Amino acid sequence: MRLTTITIVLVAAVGCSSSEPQSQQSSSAATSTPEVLGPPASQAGSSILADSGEIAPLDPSKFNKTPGYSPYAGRNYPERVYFGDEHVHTAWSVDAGGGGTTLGPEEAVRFARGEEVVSTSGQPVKLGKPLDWVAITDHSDAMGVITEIKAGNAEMMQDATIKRWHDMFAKGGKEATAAVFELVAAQAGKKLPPLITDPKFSKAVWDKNIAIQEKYNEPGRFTAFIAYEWTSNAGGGDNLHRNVIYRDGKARAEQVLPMTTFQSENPEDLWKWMAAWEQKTGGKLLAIPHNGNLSNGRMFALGTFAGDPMTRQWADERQRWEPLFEALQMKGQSESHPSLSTTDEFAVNYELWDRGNLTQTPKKPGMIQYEYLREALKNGLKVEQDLGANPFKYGMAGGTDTHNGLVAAEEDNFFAKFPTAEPSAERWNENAMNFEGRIVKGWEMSAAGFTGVWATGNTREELWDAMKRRETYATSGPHIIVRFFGGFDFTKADISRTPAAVGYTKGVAMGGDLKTAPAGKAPTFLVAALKDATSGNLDRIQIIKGWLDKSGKPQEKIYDVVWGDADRRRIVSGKLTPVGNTVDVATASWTNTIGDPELITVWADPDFDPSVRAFYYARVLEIPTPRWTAYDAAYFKIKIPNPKVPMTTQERAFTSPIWYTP
Amino acid sequence: MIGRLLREPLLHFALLGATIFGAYRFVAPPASDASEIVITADRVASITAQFSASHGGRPPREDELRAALNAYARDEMLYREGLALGLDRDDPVVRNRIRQKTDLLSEDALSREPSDDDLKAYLAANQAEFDIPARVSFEQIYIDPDRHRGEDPAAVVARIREALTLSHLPGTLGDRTLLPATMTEALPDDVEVVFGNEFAKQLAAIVGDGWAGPFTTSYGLHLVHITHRGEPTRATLADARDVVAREWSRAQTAKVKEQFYQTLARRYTVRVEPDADAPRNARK
Repeated sequence: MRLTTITIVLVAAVGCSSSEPQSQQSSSAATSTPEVLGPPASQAGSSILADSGEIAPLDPSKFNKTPGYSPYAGRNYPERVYFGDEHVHTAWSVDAGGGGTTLGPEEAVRFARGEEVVSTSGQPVKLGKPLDWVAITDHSDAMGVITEIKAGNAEMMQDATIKRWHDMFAKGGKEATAAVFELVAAQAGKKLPPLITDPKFSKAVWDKNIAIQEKYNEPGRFTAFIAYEWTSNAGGGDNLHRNVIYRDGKARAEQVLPMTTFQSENPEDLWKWMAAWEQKTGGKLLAIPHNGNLSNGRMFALGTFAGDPMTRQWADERQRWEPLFEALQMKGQSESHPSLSTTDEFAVNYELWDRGNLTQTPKKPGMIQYEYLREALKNGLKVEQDLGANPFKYGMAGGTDTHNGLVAAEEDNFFAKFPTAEPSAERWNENAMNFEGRIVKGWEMSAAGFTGVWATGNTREELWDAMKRRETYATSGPHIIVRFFGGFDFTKADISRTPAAVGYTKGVAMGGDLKTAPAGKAPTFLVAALKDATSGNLDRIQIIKGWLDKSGKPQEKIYDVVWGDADRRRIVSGKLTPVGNTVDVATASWTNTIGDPELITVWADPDFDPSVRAFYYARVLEIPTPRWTAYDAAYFKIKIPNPKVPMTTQERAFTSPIWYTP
Repeated sequence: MIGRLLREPLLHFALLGATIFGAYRFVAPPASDASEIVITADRVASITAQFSASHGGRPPREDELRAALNAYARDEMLYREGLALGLDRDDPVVRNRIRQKTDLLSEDALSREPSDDDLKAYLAANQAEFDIPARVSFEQIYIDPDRHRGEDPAAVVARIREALTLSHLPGTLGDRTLLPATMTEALPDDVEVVFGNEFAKQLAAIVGDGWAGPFTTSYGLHLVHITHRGEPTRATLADARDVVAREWSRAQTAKVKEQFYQTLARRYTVRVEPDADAPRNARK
């Protein structure tokens, strides 16, 4: 019985485009409140009156370039990392609601802020560490007109019947109830005034979602982004999904309904829509793709959606709208695959969902190389060399993609993706997905991930700007703090208590660019990491380098640059000796007697060729700790006899790359 | 008496429930509608707008508009035929959409704006939830036991304490760390996120001036000096109006939804059928 339910739910997830055409909103779009909106398109880019006034993006090149005497004054660079989730579904998403989720956007935001809620399956749950921000990315949905009528929408008031209902609602009590009666009867009798059935009024839910985010968005304390997911399943299941994140608030967001896959499932059309949106409203948007691993070779294909060769303009567009990629989430990681990164011992068996696409249609040989970010970063160098633009210049993000409203991605607090997979003694062995016998098991779900954003403050504008400049990293769950700076002049003397002060002065932060190397100098990197207060110690920091060799072929190499227990570990024939393992699976516990609480170093590329393109990013690994499956086994007192089920994990963080371009 | 009754929210729910769940039963769609698909001028305008939005602002040519209208009509036919065949029944997606619409309809129709008295009463009843706990400013010196192997931690601490009495700057003492040397005007939650739960508790318990500790965290040992401890702030409606209104609305919505559901529940009986496949002797 349970199996059937899950199957249906996922079919719904795939076919979630609405059967009702949703207007993309012409200029006559319904707006429920007569606020001052953005200027006409012709004035876009000039100074604009918005709901919160214009806040110009920071110029990272000015971060701390002229330090004064006081070490504390004038720190205009990001001093704090803000953790959040850019990928959350609630009961308002068709597939989530269809799966039984009862928690809506309001409960989801409250949970992300650290409040205790009751899950759909009736279990009380609270985050171990509250998040600093969240983006609820439900699918927009056509429904509801009552709010429009009650608000006295000007266009609707032209209709005598609707106007009468509005007045009845305004009077309240018996009159309001009578209006509801009339409205419902008219709906049942197909006698509704035509204005009401016009799809452009289907924005009630979108407006309501915006209203909730506005209520919970408290600048400086907690950021609630306005956002949605555009869910393109090309060819019936090739995952090309994108989360669209708004920099702006209500006044701009409510002018236009979200793009739907009914309009187009081509990401190039989403970029056009985003451009049109920015033109119309004067606001700003960015998109975050996810689950390349379920795209059957399409996420990072070396061609356009239609299969035509890429052009420079196409590459520019992609990079312009998509600064980040979600490399970690509950449906597996899309950062690297062991068949592509054959020397990467930490990619082996790490949260891989690599058998099929979203409907588990099996992969064919040759698909995987276009699904993982590291390969795309490498291919991007080649495309840039050939076309003059890099379409895959992605920074790192992590999200949960939860569908039960709960961003509970902590291993000891994992509430999984659907209500059916909330904690139970059986969930590890049930089917997380089942398409005609093509099954993903419950234990394969990954308790991940979050995005760390280095921003100057906790506001929509500051966080969004940091995402846009890719000053972000992905974590598999723990709030590991990671600093990563690149430049040509870092030395061991820069290892200090405040790496950022020297980092921004002498180099660029994660997500940045290094241009032409000074003669005789190789790139140097200042990298530091601090463990999460309640998670495992750190095993090591690695720097992953990708480059084009002389023949134009992409290459990669992984360097261990600093590690814990340095007094007893060394590199033996190119490999660092393992940190060890203190996990007691039976009790789901470990000790921090191995590894280090923090690591910092300066590393210079020993194999640098100044004439070829390259990128570098940091990967931080924790010591082994119990995976959620071990916490399940211990709590429910069950045996998990299947040796394929991992019971320990090495939590990790990946930073956005720093690119070197000669 | 009637007037007071009509102001009773419960009666409104009863009427609304009767409306939503009764109207469909008694108001059947006129038969003549079934074979006629009317594409209104508004619908044409909307389809046109949608077309041009996905074609760089260009309006459809006549043949393109005709194709779009045909597609709309075809969808409508399939939709109606599907409804006639009852394909909307037993479909969890459709079921959920309609449940959700009903939910929002009832919520919207009966929601109201709070009055000042509502908010005052809510704040008074939930005062602690809105009060801001005492903020604290402190500095800390970190000792990493790994970097002092073979040394008595107490000796390391004593050495640092002595240096402090000689007016060394705290920021130069102890071991290098990425942990903040100072936190300013921090709420207890902020401290807990950075240093962990135990540290936050110990910090709250410090009395008197001077350097306290060492306290143990998952990072190592810490000496702590509180530079300023604030007072908790009692929330007033003037300061916290938005937040109180948000919480009031949420509580109010939960309350009216539950009342609505209870009203409905009185109109239904729920019967669980025995399992027909169960072995017959099990029922004996």
